[in-house]
Amino acid sequence: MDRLSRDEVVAVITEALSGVADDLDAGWDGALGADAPILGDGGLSSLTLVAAIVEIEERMEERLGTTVTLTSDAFWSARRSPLATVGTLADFMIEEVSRD
Amino acid sequence: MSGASRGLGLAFAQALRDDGYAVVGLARTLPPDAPSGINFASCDVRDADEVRALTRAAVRDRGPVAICVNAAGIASMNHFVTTPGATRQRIMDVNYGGTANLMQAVLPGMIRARNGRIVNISTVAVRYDLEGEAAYVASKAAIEALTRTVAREVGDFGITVNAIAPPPIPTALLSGVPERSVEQLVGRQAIRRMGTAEDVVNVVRFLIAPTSSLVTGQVISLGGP
Repeated sequence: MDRLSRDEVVAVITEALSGVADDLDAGWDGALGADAPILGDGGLSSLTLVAAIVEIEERMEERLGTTVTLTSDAFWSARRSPLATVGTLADFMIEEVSRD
Repeated sequence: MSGASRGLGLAFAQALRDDGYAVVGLARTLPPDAPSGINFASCDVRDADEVRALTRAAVRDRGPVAICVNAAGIASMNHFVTTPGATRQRIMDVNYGGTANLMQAVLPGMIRARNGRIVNISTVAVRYDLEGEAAYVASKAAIEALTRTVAREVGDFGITVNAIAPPPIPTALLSGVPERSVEQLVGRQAIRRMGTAEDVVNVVRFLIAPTSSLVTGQVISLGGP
């Protein structure tokens, strides 16, 4: 499988986050881009995060034909949380897919 | 639906099929004379990856999972001190682990749909702290705690999570229990009779109904408190 483009993955993630934030009326401070925080200050609540993870997995499969599981041990035990920013999550997902 | 090949799981599968649902029944061993209208799939519920893959396949074939019933379960009657560690672990892995695996597999889709019904199966043995069933009781108590906690976590997504604690019911699971023990257990109930599969099906139907959208985090004990 060709290596995923970071821009494509960032686009899928931001689209998913935006959709979930609108749906749950969570709001979003600042621009949604690769540097946007997912967890922590300016990021998502735990409720919205759950919905976001689900949405990101689904959209990765629908848009890019790629199955990524974000509930793995590797995801939650990574030294630097993949959920720090949209960019770190994209990097994690690309790395995971390239390992398969 | 797990545990669909026999006992209560099979009764649930047939009832929901009769009610018009598209039923996918997971079972370790498929029934030799599989009833028509139910799609059976061989599955070891202890294997999270297998459960997830089968759930994805079911969603691809039939659309989102709206209802999940966790009926897979095993038991082994023994004093706790003489229960082999492997048996104790196997009971926990099938009963609690299997329930948790299937819940984790179906919940993402339910969260996305902002709708869902999960029904888990506990047992009267939990509230009676039934001697001789420590490993089984512990696994079912874990299911009850999981039910209540996850109900809180997913309530905002329009998903209800409940459990049913049936009294003794004549199924294969009860065949290893001495008759006298069953009589003593039934004697402790407010309504002193054994249950039937239909008694439990009745509660499943109530819990999954669209009108039961405010019923969640409950363990409904049949036969009385």
